[in-house]
Amino acid sequence: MERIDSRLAAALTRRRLLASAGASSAAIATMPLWAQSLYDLGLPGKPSTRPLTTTFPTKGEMILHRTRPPLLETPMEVFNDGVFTPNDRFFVRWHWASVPDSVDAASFRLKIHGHVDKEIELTLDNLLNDYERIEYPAINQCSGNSRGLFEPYVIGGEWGNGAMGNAMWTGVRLKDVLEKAGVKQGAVDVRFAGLDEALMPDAPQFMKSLKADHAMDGEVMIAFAMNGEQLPLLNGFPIRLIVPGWYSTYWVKMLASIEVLDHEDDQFWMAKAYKIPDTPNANVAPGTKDFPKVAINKMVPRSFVTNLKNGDAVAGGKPLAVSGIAMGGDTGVAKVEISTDGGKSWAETTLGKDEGKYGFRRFDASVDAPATGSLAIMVRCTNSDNIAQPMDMVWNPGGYMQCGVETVTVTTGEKA
Amino acid sequence: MNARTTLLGTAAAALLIAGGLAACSKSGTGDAGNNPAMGKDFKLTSETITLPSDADEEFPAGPGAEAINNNCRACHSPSMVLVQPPLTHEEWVAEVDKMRNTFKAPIDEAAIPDIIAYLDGYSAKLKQSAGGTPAAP
Repeated sequence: MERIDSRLAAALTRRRLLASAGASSAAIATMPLWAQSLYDLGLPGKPSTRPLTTTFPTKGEMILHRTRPPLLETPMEVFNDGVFTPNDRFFVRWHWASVPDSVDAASFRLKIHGHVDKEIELTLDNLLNDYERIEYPAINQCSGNSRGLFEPYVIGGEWGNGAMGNAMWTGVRLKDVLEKAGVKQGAVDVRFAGLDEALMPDAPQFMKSLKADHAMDGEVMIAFAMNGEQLPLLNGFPIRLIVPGWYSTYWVKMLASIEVLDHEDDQFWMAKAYKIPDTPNANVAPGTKDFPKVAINKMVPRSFVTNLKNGDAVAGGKPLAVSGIAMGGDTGVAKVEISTDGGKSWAETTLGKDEGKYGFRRFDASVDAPATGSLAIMVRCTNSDNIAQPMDMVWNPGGYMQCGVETVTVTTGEKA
Repeated sequence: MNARTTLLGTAAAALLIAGGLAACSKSGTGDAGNNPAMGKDFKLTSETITLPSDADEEFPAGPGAEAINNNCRACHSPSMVLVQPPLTHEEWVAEVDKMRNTFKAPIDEAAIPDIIAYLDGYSAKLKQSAGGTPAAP
């Protein structure tokens, strides 16, 4: 309670401070001094530019959506450099402004409790030494990645396409840790919470749950490393949950509590938030409100051209290299195709090295650029389950799961 | 891969390099046996950061600015509002209601009409500028 009270007091003090400052200040909000330049996300019908910032510790240049709680997006150019996203360019998203700014490795404990034979608390040394380590690449993608591109608009974090990243994760199997505590018969859900707490005492703490059989599948990981290094604090140091093939909302950061439930998790973040239409690709007609809902879950195929962007001027009358990244969603990439005739005909691209089915896969192609004019390049991924991206952008009232075929339009002509 | 840059940017860098792992800075390429985190000598080091302050970020001047500055910045930066599309009056009312009732924001009830008036003004300005940015977030 003491901690909650102190948080509330801090918030209220802040309010008073702001009140006194606000009364005397006629300050007009201008671009903060630390914002060196603007990045245009190409969002339709709403503010489209964001500052680029380098002011977040452990982070390189990021697109700033919100300082507090932090929302930082990865510029698309980063994805052109390789299929693994560097830790210092990996996107950041927190729900509550009470992000812990310090984590002590020695005193940190992970608690496994609830419907188990015996409650246990693990140190980081326990996790490093007492369990078999596993590693695999996996894409961490925000449920609302690309929300800013939705038409008609959807309220929320107005992301471009860069609320995603792929890393090599290293850690231990969630299954092994749960078995150490002993999951009792009748377990239904396993609920995860981090060190971050709700800002207001009676507001819902951020927690997410997986079905018990999913939690025990041997793939879900408690990760202590990202691309061979410990996690940046902003990405969840010291440990975070890795749920390969599923949206980032389940990848709980600063994981501190694993609670086995003998009933379905009915708290806010599972029962009310992050719900999607129970339709293919979560797609419904714009404006639709009444439809069966389910909790967001598996990812779906997507692909992006990364060496070109809308409006680029390229040399005409010769071959144009087109390359980028693709993801299969909850399984691998089978093929990536491109079209320069509005989707009437498609040409298969050359796929790069397969680093693992849950990670990005590079593709490369060459198209004939007309001497002058404009060239619209569409890119479509089909996954190993033969699921292809839909031709049209999807829509739902939460702005989740965008996966429609992307188009990059460049102008061709004389170019130095 | 930019692992080298990342290493230099973290407090862990010195320890990792001291541990002789600098040669493994190609980590993350997925090459088997090249992941320092799979090694038995991999250690975790306490992390402390200082997040940038947004104390100088205010809502642009306009009718109701004082109310929104005083009531909406305890929980988030103004930019969360200033990047939204031009929402309708009903949508803004629903958002403020969600902040108060779902997320328990300590918003002074008496300030709500002014907050809504500010937000409606924001939408109107945004529509005038044809979707452009009315003010930097």
